[in-house]
Amino acid sequence: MQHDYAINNTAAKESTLDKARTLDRFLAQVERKAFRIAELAVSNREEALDIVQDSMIGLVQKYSDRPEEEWMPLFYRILQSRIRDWYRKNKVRSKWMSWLGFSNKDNEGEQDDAMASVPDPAGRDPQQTASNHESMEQLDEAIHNLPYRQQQAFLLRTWEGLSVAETASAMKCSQGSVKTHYSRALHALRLELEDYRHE
Amino acid sequence: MNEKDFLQKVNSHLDQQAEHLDATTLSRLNQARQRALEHVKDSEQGHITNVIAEKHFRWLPASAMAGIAIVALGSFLFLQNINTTPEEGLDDPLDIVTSNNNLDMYEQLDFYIWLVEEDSSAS
Repeated sequence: MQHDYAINNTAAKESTLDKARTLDRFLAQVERKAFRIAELAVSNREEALDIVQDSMIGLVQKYSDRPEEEWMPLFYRILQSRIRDWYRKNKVRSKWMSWLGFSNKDNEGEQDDAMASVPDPAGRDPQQTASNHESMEQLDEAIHNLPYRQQQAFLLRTWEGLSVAETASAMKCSQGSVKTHYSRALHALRLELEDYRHE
Repeated sequence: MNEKDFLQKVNSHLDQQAEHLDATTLSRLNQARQRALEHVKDSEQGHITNVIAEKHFRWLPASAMAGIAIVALGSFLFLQNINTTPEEGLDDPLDIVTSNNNLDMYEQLDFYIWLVEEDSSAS
């Protein structure tokens, strides 16, 4: 009996190590993108780091027993949930910002993006953005300025490579909504960047 | 620029940004990952503890069940004895007490003792 226990205990420990290694590999693979996706959503580095950490813990606690191929959509589902929680907590602050004329990412195209009409504090002339470096800055700003759902649908589909179904699961919306958000985001980005290119 | 090229450009730019995160952020992400992995050890430790308990204390639930069964059987028999006719020759106090038919006799015990004494004195 003691021999059996020793064998089972060793096997269990090895299994734990294997699982930890596999999870470590997965989390190391997604952490940078997850952080950038969260940071673009909440515009705050510290909050984004907290969101990513919560999401990692959530995945390990709840879904580490699921097959490895399910971890990606599950992780982003948790991440999106944490981001939505952040928005809910900051709803009051967002309402004030909206009232004061600043953009509210929660509203899907219902309001014009007021930030876009604010003069560039660095005083850059759009005509000076012909260089590759500056067009990338414009791309950053354009992605940042997208309404939240368009932004997240675009990033999850384009950058992280999730399917429509996986993105819908992560964002807790229909596949049709994902396609709509995605196409609007793509259209808005191309329009904004082409505007700068043509000026 | 067609859509495919545009998306490629976007992905390339976002990948570059992710590759060039500052050292502090990378360190924080690493710490977050390690903290998350601690939960693997915690959950597995719980599992290992359960395995040990099952291995060494397998008999415990069985004996507990046996005890419960004995108590249940005893209770059943106790309740059965209350409603059955007492057999002859019962001299176990428990049997006597649990025998309904004899209860009247014990309630009037003084009377019966007196009766016996009267018979004795008469004889």
